[in-house]
Amino acid sequence: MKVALVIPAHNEEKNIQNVIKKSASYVDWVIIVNDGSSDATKKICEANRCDKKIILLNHKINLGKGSALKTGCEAARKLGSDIIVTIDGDGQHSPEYIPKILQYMESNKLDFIFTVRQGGDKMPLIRFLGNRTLNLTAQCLFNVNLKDMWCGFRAFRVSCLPKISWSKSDYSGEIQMALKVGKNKITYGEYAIPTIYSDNVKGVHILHGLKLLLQMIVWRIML
Amino acid sequence: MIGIQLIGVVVGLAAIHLTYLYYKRSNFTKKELFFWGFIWLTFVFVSVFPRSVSPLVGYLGLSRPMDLIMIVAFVILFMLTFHNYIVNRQQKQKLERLVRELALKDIDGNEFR
Repeated sequence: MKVALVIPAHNEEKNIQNVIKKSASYVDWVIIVNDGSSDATKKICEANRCDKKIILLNHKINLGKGSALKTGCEAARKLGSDIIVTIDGDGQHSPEYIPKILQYMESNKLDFIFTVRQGGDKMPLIRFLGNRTLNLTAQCLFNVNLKDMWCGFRAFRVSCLPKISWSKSDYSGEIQMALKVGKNKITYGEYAIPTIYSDNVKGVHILHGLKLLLQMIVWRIML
Repeated sequence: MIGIQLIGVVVGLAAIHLTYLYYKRSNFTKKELFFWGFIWLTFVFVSVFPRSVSPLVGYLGLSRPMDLIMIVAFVILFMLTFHNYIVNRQQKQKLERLVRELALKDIDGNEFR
């Protein structure tokens, strides 16, 4: 069974080297999608391409995380991988959990694994509340009951790709993917991972959350 | 001629001049030159002779020529906004496709298998 790891990276010069080094031994291919970084991310990735299993794909301009994931997953499919694992390039996910997640996936015969960041006391309150609201909305509208929909550490079978294809090019692409899992009744499970919040949180803020809430309602009608 | 008419004429003439300049710089085709030229000439004409639209104003049940001009202006604005939205979206999709295809070029070349 071939496993490809997709890492979308935008201005991750501080963390990307560690992420590549830590994850390379757990998968068959590490696909880094440099999403138009303006810092040294590209140079660092090129310097770390020690063997053919580390693949660097470059977006000439920044398209967003959703697009970077699309490119990475398309590359994984073309390479002939059976399972795709996605992690963030900022080092907030521990690649050591990849084998455990894959084992959990196989032993339970699941098609999609979401991860749940444990240690909620470290999560800022506004994030915690926003997360809960969106999870409840997703449960009501799409019948997908997830504890942590935002977490970018995921694993899924390549055969699921047509059913979970997302159109959004930004961060909401990941959410669209999660909602399609529920809508298309793909078998999924959740796996607990430790929470590592970096100082430089680039992620979503309250306005993104509100926008997403509205989008979910639109997607319920359109998807 | 009252002030508002004068402003209308000046704006219309400036727009005709700009349309012609765009045509000279090859930003506009002849078709576009005639289309926008016609729109702005009509605008100038209505500004100078507001009563010329009176029959249409009466037919549409409006009370003043100014009301008709405002309604037409809003309709055009909405149409242009919608058109811009569509074009912008199409360009964004094309750009995304191009950037992603360029990124995937090496994979297609079988280099990593």
